Amino acid sequence: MEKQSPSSIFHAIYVDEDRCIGCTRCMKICSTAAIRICNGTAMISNSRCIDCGECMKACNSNAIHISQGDLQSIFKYKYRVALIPAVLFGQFKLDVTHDDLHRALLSLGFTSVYEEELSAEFQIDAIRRFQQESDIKPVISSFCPAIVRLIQVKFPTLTENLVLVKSLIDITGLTILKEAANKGIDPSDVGIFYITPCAAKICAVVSPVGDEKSPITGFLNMDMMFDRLSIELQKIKGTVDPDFKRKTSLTRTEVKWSLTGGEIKHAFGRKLSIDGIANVIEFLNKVDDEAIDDIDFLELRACDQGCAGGILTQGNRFLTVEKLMMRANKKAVNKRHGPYYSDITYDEIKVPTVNPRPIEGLDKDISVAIKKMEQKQEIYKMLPQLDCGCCGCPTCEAFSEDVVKSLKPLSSCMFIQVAFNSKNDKGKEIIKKIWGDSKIVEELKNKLENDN
Amino acid sequence: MHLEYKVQGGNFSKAGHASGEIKKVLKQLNVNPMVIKRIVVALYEAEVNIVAHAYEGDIIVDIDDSKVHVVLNDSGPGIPSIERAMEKGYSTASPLVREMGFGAGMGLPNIKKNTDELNIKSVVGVGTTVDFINYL
Ligand SMILES: Nc1ncnc2c1ncn2[C@@H]1O[C@H](COP(=O)(O)OP(=O)(O)OP(=O)(O)O)[C@@H](O)[C@H]1O
Ligand code: SF4
Ligand SMILES: [Mg+2]
Repeated sequence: MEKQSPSSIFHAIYVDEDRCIGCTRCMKICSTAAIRICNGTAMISNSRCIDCGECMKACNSNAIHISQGDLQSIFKYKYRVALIPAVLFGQFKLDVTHDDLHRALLSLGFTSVYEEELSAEFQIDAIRRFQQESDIKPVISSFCPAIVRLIQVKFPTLTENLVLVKSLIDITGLTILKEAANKGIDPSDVGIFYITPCAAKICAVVSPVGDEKSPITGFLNMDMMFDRLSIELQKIKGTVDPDFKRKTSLTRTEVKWSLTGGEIKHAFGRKLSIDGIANVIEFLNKVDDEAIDDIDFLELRACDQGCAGGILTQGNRFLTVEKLMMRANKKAVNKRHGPYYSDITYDEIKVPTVNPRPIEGLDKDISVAIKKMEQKQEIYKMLPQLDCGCCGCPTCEAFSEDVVKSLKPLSSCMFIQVAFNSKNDKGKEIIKKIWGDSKIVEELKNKLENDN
Repeated sequence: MHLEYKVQGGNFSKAGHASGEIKKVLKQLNVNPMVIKRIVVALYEAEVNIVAHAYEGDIIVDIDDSKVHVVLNDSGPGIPSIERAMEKGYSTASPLVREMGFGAGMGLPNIKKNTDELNIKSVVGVGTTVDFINYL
C-alpha cells in the first residue's frame, strides 16, 4: 500500500479534461489552493488535494469525477460482504426497512451485510483513552478522512492532536475477518466492499493514513448503488423471504455517529462539533494560533451535516438527517450494550502516528526560501489584488507564489500584459474605467522592465 | 527579511492579526512547525498585551536563516515592576479585559517559556519594549 511520499498519494478525485471548460469555479472554492487552470482545464495538485469533494460540488460542467468501484468485481470472492454506512439508510424513504435494505443487497449478489458503525464503541473507548493518556488539547476526532488530510497538509502541528485509532471501516472490517476466521473460512475467500458516501473514504480504504493496509477489499460508490438498490427494492416490495434473517442491528449512537454531533457526546470535557470545510479551517486557524486552548475535544466533519452531506449521497442532506433521526429514535431500535463484536483489543486498533505533509514551504533551504518570499511579496504588490483567476491561479497571492516557483510566467496576468503593451491603449482605458488608475501603474511597467 | 505591523490598543477583534500573518510567512519559509508554534504563541501574547494594556504599538519582525527577531514597541502606561509582571498569575487587567477572557496573568510567563532570548524594557508613563529572539 501507499507510503506517504507526495508523488504516490492516492486520490479518488480527478478531472475529465474533455468536459472541463476551465471556468475557475473549482479553483476558487478549493480550500488548500490545490487547483490551477492550465491549457484550459483544471489540474489538481497531488500533494495538496485532500479529496474533500468541494470542487465536484462547485463544478457546473460535470467535469470532476470520482473513481468508480465495479459491482461485478465482488464475484471474484466466495464470501461477499457489503459494508454499509448508516447514511445509506437515510437515502431511502422511511417505509424501506432495515430488512428490506439487507435483502436488496443480498439480491445484488452479496452473501452478508454489515454496518460500518458496528464498531463505534471501540472508537468511543479509543477517544476516551487518548484523552486520558495525553494532556493534548483539543483532541481532534479522526473520523473524517478529508479532515485528517486537511490537518496533515495545512495544520501540520495539529497532527499530534488527532486520535490515533483506525477508522470505523477498518475496525469493522477486522471484526468481520475475525468472525470468518473463527468459522474456519480462509480470509482470501472473503471480499469486503465498502459503499462509500464520499471520495475521502475511498482514499481511506485504498490508502489509510498512518497505517499499513486496510482489511477492506474494495469500494462501491453510493450514487451508483442507490440506483441499483432502488431497482432491487422495487422487486422485493411486498414479498416475504421466509429464509431471511438479519444478523446485525444498530444502536441509536451508531445510527447517528456520522452525523454532526454524533460522536461528541461520548468525549470528555468541553467539546465542539464543527461541520463544513470552511468552518473547520476558520476554527483550526484559531487553534493553531493557540488563541483557543481550553477546549478538550473537537468533532470535525468536512461536509455540512456530516456524512449526510457526502458528495455521493443522493438525498437532500437535511432530509437525510431527519430520516436517520426518525430511525434512531424508533422504539424498536436496538438496545445492545457494548460493541457488536468484542474479541478485539485496543492494541489491534491503534495507529502509530499521522505524518504531517506540509505544503506551504517555498524551498527546503531557508535562505533560498527567504529570498523567494521577498520576491513573492514584491510581485504581489504589483498585482491588481482582484483575485480574478484569469491567470489560472486562485488568488493573486497564489499567482505570485507560482511565478516565484517558475510555474507561471508573469505575463499570465492580464493586468501586467496591459501595462506592458503600450500599444494597447484601448485595453488600458477599459481597465482604468472599471478598476481605476491604480491597477495599471506606469511605474510598474518601468519596474518590470528594469527587473528583466 | 523585514516585516512591520501596527497594533491598536483596545481593538480586541484585531488582536492576533500579526501573529497570524507571521505564521503564514514562517510556514512558507519551511520553518519547523514546532518552532513556528513557539514564535506564534509568544507573538500572540505580546500582541494581546499591547491591545489590553497599552494605547498603540508597532511590531517589527526580522527573519534570517538562523533566527527570528521580534520587537514590539508600544506607547502606554509602562510596567512599574517587570519582575512582578513576569510572575505567573500577576495581572492588572481591567474588569472589561477579564470579561473578554484575558487577564489570567499568564501572557508574559508564556512568552518567556516560548522564546530563546527575551528582553523587556519599560518606562512608566511612556511605554514598553518587548524584544525576543527564537533560533531556527
Ligand atoms: N505592553 C504592556 N504595557 C503595559 N503593561 C503591561 C504590558 N504587558 C504586560 N503588562 C503588565 O504586566 C501584567 C502581566 O502581563 P501578562 O501578559 O503576564 O498577563 P495579563 O495580560 O494580565 O493576562 P493574560 O496575558 O493571561 O491574558 C499585565 O497585567 C500588565 O499589568
Ligand atoms: S463528512 Fe463524511 S461524507 Fe463528508 S468527507 Fe467526511 S467522511 Fe466523507
Ligand atoms: Mg497578557
